[in-house]
Amino acid sequence: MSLLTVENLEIAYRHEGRRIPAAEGVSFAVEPGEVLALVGESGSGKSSVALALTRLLPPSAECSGAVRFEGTELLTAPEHALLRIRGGRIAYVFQDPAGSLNPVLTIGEQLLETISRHSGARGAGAEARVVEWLERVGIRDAAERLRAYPHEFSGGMQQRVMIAMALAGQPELLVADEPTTALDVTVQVQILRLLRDLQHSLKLSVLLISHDLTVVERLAHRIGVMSQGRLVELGRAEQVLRAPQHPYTKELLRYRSMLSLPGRRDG
Amino acid sequence: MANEVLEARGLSKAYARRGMLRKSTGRVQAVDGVSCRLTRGETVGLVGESGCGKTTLAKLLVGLVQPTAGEVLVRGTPLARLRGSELLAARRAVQLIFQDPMHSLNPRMTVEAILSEPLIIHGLARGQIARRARVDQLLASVRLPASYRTRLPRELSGGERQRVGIARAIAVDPDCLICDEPIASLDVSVGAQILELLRSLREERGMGLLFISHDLRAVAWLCDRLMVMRDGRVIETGASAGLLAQPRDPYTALLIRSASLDLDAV
Repeated sequence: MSLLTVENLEIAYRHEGRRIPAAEGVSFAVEPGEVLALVGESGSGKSSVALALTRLLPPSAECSGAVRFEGTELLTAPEHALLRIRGGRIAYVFQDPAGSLNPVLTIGEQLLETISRHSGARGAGAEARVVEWLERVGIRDAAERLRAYPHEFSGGMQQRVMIAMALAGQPELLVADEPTTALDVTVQVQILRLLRDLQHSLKLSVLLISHDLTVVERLAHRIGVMSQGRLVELGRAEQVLRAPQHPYTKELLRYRSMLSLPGRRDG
Repeated sequence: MANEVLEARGLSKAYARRGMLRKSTGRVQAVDGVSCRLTRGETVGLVGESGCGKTTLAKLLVGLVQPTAGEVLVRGTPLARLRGSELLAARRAVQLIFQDPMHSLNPRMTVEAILSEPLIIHGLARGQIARRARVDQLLASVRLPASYRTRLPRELSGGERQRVGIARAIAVDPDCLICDEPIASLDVSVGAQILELLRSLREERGMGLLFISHDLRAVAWLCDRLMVMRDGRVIETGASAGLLAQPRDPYTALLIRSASLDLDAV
């Protein structure tokens, strides 16, 4: 059975009396242990879809359709039921780690809060989990570093912390919305490798949102292509990349091959 | 060399580092002894990660920032020694394109006013009729319809705004363009179209192009020669094909591997 099923999702924003559609008739499913990527350019509706899953959209958004997560209908579930799912069983990593971390709390305090909230662990046990998670996402001298504030970390290290916070609640689904877009390319590689390794070892389901086909190709088992609010193509990653069906997907691939380095395999 | 438009000799820029209460806590060497040259018809790519000093270098080259050491020469004359009409001519020769066209275009000016301004400043295409003809011509060269004359920046898409930014830069017929991350805030397909436009403009007009980007893939596609910058210094330079095939510096090699996001090779 699918972990997450999205059926006929419609999202529109109300703006100055007008209704601006962001997603129309979007349907897909995420299977256990699978990485599904939604790729598309800015304004294609991919981030709106990611936020709509756990009702994180702003009040100006209207949303209809169905989002089922292990038997629970998320779009109509009562808020208290959603609180247990959001951040816990469905966790998010966003593009801008500096904007997602609280600047006046230490890294350790923020991670501790997440761990106690979602696992109920307290005291020394919870603190040991903080160190364990920081080490798992590749932060050295974790027992020392957890006393640091976010601004003392580089962008890449901050994103590692965000990944630790997301995964510490032991989610079944990780929604990663442009997780490497704000990072330098050498750091992007490290973060993508970390995500790939954690996905493997935890057998995590991931909904990856990205504008970058190369990022998507590195992680995704299946790829959905979004354009102007519609999911215009959905298939196995190799199939979409080798034999794209939709003209928009073909266009994306043409630019990708134009900008691939000579002698590289993704040409 | 007769064709040489722009040259930097031992260019350095240090900023004071300010800590709490604006107390000086030392100096940051943003650009550290960079020498480079750009000739007409040549495309040079400057690649590096955030904080490597590439934007400071761009500002130094057009005289928006004064160097703490070294000098910039425009057509063989030190920029710092030029005054009045000679300085104006030097500024005309070297034009700049910015990353974010939303912030580099005046939101209250129409496209026509934006493109007319440099013509007026440099006394080109005098008179309203000549000027309007020139504006139409500029719009055509960046592949925008003449009807865009009356639009305001907010009525344009990101890619269209960047085209207007390019039209404004080429309005004065410069010898070279310095493009500072011109596609960084654009979607991939729009960015690729801007790259194609820059390439064809270079071919049509024979300008020199210094293309600054964090994206090695874009730089490699457009440029004949590459410079790799790290911590304020140019650590490697060479013809694009050779440098990509056989980087000498380990950091260049790392950038090349990273650019393809090859997760197992780095």
